[in-house]
Amino acid sequence: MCFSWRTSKWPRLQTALTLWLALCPLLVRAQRFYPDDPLEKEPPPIPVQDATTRRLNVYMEMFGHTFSDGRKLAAENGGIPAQAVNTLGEVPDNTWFHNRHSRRRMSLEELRRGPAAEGPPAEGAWTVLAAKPEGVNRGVLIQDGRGRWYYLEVDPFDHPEMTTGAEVIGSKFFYALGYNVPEVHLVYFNPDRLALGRNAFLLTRSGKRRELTALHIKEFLRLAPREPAKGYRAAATRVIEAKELGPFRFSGTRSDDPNDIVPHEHRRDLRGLFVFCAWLGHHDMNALSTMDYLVEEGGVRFVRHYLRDFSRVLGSDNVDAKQPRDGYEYLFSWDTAWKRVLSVGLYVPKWARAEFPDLPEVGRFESTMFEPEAFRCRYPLPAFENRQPGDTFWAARQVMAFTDEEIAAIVQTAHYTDPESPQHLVRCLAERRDKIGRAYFSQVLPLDDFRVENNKLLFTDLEVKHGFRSGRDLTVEWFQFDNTSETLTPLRDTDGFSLPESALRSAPGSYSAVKITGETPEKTVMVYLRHESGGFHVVGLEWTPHGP
Amino acid sequence: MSLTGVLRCCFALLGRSPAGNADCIGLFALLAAGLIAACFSSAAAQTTSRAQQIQQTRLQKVPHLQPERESKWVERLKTFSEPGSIARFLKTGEGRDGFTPLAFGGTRSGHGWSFGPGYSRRYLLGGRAQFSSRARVTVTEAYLLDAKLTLPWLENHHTFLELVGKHEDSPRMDYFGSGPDSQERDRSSYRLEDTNFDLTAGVRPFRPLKLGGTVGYLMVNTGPGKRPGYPSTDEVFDPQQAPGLDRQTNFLRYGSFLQLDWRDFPEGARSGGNYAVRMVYYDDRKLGQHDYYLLDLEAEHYIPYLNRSHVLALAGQSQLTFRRQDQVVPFYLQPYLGSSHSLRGFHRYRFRDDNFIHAAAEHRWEAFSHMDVALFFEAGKVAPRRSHVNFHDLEYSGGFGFRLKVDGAIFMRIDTGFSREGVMIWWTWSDVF
Repeated sequence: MCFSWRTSKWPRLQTALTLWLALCPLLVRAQRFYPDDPLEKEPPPIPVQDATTRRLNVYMEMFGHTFSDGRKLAAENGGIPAQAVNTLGEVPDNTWFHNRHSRRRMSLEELRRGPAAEGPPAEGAWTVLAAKPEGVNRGVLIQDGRGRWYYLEVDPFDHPEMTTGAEVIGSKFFYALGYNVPEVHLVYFNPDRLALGRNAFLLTRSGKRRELTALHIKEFLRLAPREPAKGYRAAATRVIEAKELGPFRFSGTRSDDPNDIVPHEHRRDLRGLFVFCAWLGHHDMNALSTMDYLVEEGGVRFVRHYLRDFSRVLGSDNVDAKQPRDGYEYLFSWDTAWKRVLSVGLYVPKWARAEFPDLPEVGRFESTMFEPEAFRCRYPLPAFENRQPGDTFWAARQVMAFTDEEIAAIVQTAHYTDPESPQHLVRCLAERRDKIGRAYFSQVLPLDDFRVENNKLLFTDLEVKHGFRSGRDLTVEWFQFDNTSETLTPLRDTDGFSLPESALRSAPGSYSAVKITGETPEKTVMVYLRHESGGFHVVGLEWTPHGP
Repeated sequence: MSLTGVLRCCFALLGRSPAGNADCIGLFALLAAGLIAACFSSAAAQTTSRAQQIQQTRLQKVPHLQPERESKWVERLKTFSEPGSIARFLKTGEGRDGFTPLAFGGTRSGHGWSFGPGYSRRYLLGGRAQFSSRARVTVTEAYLLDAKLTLPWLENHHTFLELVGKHEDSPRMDYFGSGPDSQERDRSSYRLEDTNFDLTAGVRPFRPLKLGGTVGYLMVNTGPGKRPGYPSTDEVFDPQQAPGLDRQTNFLRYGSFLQLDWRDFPEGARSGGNYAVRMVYYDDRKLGQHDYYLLDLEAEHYIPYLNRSHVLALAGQSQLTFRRQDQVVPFYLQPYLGSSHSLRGFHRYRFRDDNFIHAAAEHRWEAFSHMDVALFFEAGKVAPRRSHVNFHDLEYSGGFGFRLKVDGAIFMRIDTGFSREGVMIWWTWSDVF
């Protein structure tokens, strides 16, 4: 049997059949919401059979991102809404991010404890396995009496407590915000606690290995500040016992990870990271501040994505205090460079007038000149450049969830000697937090915490809640929503935010929608409700401009 | 109604009569194909949950998994895995512990870019010693061989020690004659070949302060110069005008120094100061004609403002010689002005005499994190007698420049200097002071 397409004889038939083939897929349509929406947690990852370790180079990253990548991807993408989000615009728990403080308030004790699961290095002697006595991130790798590995990083001589404080505080904030981070503990030790291990090696600045001797350890400690009563202070970072796969990039996906399906430049948890870095002054966020690990849980191996190295948050730049420009401009920018050259120095950047405290433990950290949207890392990152108002709104909510008391609780874990240091940091973090709230809540209609109670739609106006404005006039329109065709049919029997009668009478499984408009018509929120046996539940949110 | 009957109806609707069963079967096949296409192309519609949709997307990636590829340049650039490592490498050849096939800089000014291999070890004798050596050549046939041994371990005991050995051959040294009235038209060229071994040791009671002594041996040889277009020095000057031109000697030199250095970052200072005084005695070992003392006074101060985005750098230097009446300072060791560090609007080695005084002011500001722009102004003069060292009849120079930095350290500088004798452009791997 064969079918001959006699086009000349039956042109009308041919046309009709062509249309039929083209339209067939549309006969079977996707639905907007599924029964498990909104998803709170992504499904368990698919097992990863093997993943290769892939390194990056600091200079390649710096030049590559400074002169291409970030802005280019953003320009090409033209404002794509974030992916890896649920129907409420939230990030479901996944291998990158876990909702913590903003969704389930952590206690002060939990905030202070941070990611600590195994605790600091055990008491007793520590065996030194390796040392990096010069360059950035100077430290020693030790094994404690329980066989656990830690990397001890010390402060620069002129800034005692600065780098170690930044590591401890940074790790706890990023943990509370939801990221995977290693445990970091503050420890004090005397040199006699360090025992040289067999085959211990020294890592030079150029990456070569040499035999490690006691003299090297002594030289390393000579350049570190010491408190007479307590000894040397270090930030002890627990080494994660899993295969390091190399840093993750801020664009694209890993080609050997089946669970990595969303381009990183479009992940909300990475786009929103811009706001967190701005808040905490992490001007050196880049791929080399991250690490992918091949972990195993429940017999399943998968890739988990970590942030690490918080020695450059707040006022610290690891081996010295931050430069005054850090956080305010890229390493290189044509805009500012040519102005400064041609103006013979008369064009003065804004950061040149910032005032920093004379607190060696803090370094350079302030809040007066800080403007969230003007924050700059060392170079553009694709995820940061692709951020949309929905991403920054999501992140701003996380930041605004921290009260002054909670901020102080985390800062106090750095145990600064000078009481003025934590006071200054808490004050700056609180002011920067509020600036973030004001900046990003104003870009959308900042309504949150939607729920239905007593057949009425309730929500919180975040600007009002945080005292940024006194009140707001809102208009509301109700609709019947067809989940399959995604059509909205206006409802007439409406009364403010109370559910219309027609919605109340609708069958379980049906959907309603309500459009809330603020004073400016461009800023709206569409709330989708599903009628379930127990009542109405909010299953979807959509902001304009640039919805979730 | 049978399926065939349905299909015949379809044809009737379309205003055609099917030619036969074959046409009906063909139509049926098309309809089935359309439905199958709908099923496959709407895979999402088959899913019953969001979680399932996500899993399906993951599974779709599985057949396309590939190992992550590391750029070949990561391994090649392994030496430069830390910020600042490239600048250190370019400037000094350091950075690679071991053999460095190519690095730049180190020879005397005026011979073009120098390049060559080096070897360094930072952790000798259990970490007590550091050794570095290098060889440099230029396209103008100048070359340099040197080696340095230091004992950083001594810093634990507030002491320091350094042993340096060097041999350098510079065939295009400039000489314009001695004195402040030397003429640009008298420019000549000579070859300077010297070998020295110097030991420097001292104490460092606290960080900014260093005091110590130095002892060394210097062997000198001069000869006809090779700078194209300019006569050899021995063709223009006689030994009266250029002492030491006809016969060279060896020197035992020894002395002491005191330095107070509280610059925030010596390789790219933006605050603080550096003050030093050195006195060295040159003992002529062969001829007995060139014994003298050299007193070197040096001062730098950096005044930052606007959060160190702008810096006013002030510097002053004076070199004074002390000798008996029957002794002379050989021309090849006379203090000089005119270089990438002094009176930058004049030729290198433009002014020579037994003494000089020099002052400079430079206003620097950041263009971006890795580059400063500078405007500078200088004044100075050479003098045959110490009593002539004053602020009268000075030579002046001014200009602008760019300094490239990494991690705050200046590793390359391009300066353009203007003077009454024209314009000079300097491209060097060092800071100005």
